[in-house]
Amino acid sequence: MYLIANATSKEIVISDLKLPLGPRKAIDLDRVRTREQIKQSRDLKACFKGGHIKLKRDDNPDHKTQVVSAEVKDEQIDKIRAAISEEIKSQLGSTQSSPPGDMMAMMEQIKAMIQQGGGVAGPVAGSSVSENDDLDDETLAEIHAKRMGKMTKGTMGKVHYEEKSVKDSIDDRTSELDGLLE
Amino acid sequence: MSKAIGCDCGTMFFQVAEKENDNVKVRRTRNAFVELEASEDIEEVLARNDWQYVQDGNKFYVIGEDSLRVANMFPGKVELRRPLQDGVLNKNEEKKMLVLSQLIETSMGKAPDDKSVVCTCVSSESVDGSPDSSFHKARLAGMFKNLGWNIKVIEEGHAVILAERPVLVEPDGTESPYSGIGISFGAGRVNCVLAYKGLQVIGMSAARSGDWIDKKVAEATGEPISQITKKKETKLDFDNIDYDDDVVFALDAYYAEMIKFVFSKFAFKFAAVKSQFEAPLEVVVAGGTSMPKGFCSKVREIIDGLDLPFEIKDVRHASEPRDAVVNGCLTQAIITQKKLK
Repeated sequence: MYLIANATSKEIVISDLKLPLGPRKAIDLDRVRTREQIKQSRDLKACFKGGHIKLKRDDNPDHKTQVVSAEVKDEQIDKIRAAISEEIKSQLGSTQSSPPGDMMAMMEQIKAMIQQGGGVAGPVAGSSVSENDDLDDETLAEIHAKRMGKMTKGTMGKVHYEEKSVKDSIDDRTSELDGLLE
Repeated sequence: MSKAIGCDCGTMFFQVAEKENDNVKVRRTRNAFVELEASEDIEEVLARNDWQYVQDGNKFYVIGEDSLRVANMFPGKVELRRPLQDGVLNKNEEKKMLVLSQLIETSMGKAPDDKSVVCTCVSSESVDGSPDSSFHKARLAGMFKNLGWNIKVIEEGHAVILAERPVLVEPDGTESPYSGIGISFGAGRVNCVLAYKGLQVIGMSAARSGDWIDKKVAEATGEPISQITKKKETKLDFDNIDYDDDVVFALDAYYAEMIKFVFSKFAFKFAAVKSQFEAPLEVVVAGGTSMPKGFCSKVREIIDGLDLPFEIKDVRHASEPRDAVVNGCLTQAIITQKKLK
């Protein structure tokens, strides 16, 4: 995994990788480009240097060349299916040449899931949560509220405030703004 | 009964505002604290002096104006600290968040019902690499939510617009209220917003404000920051600069530098929306750093020397420069609450 995130509030396009990345979005580059391409990308380096993109996770920091396939080939699926079929046969202890119908349906499901997982080349959202990732404000506030509740348990305060009261046309302003903002 | 409250959690001062009949009531305290070492008689000392404090287990933090008194009583032995630095919360300083959450709880209390709203403000996008406010915004929202409040967050410069109602006169003579530039010159940051009919168009902030000026002048003159601040508050008059006083002279120079920086950066952002604004813009300034006499003239003098992509109609002070931001937050809180009902 080579997870990067857009740390800005604007879309960034990594031109030499031909890759757009939306504001505050994250993506696993290993799923869409080879490690060679990633390491040779000058635009990506410039984005790191400028702080516009942050590296969240690198599972292969020594960047040994890996061939990462963005697609799962049918031969691989057939091999997996054959292995599962053998396993089921051995567990059932049956002389059946092929697994029963519901097992076949399950294997088709697994095959479909593998194909789905192998082919996605899009943003990976939410895989590492930090203040810069794309959680909505409501959820973030909830997380922080819980933290504050824990932190302030048993805390008490004695505070005085300097007070003043001023005549203000706030009612006029709010009515006027209500009309403008409708 | 439902409440609508405005809250301005600034680097120097913490303020809340609430409507009370035809008036707006503002409550304020200094946003600073000192940590006292636990001792057998600590509670007696606090009670005897009637100091404001926050207690967390066996730790005590004297806060507000009293924290300044304690720091002056024990120079070098206690450190005066602030929950905010450069306008934002430091996520690595949990004690600071504890103090701030107590300020919030003691000033506002728990929300009386589920229709009560607090509006607070955060800094706009930083243009000088200073820390952004995403953690600050989320943590502040969490503090309010922990007390049951519905939360609305706006940018600080926008609050100035909502409080002061600048007006744009369109080429055909019609007036568009809440249209213009609102600038809050705080202690930790300057925040600048362009709005049109109450809606924010662009915003920016920079950590080049009151604290930056004090620090730079102290470096240049060798005077302690406390003396710089005192002269800034008592002697600085931009219409009558004492050029023989090195501190005043340096203050004048760094103020000019700050104003030039802010408008230059703002001009860059403005370029993206230039075509929408051909009429001259009204500028409203607020915040403690804008308080020295003649500040508006100083701003005018500096921007007349810049080649800006917009025309300035006039530069004026907020009617209550220290309260404009919290007042604007209260305005927005009332509007938001109406929509909830």
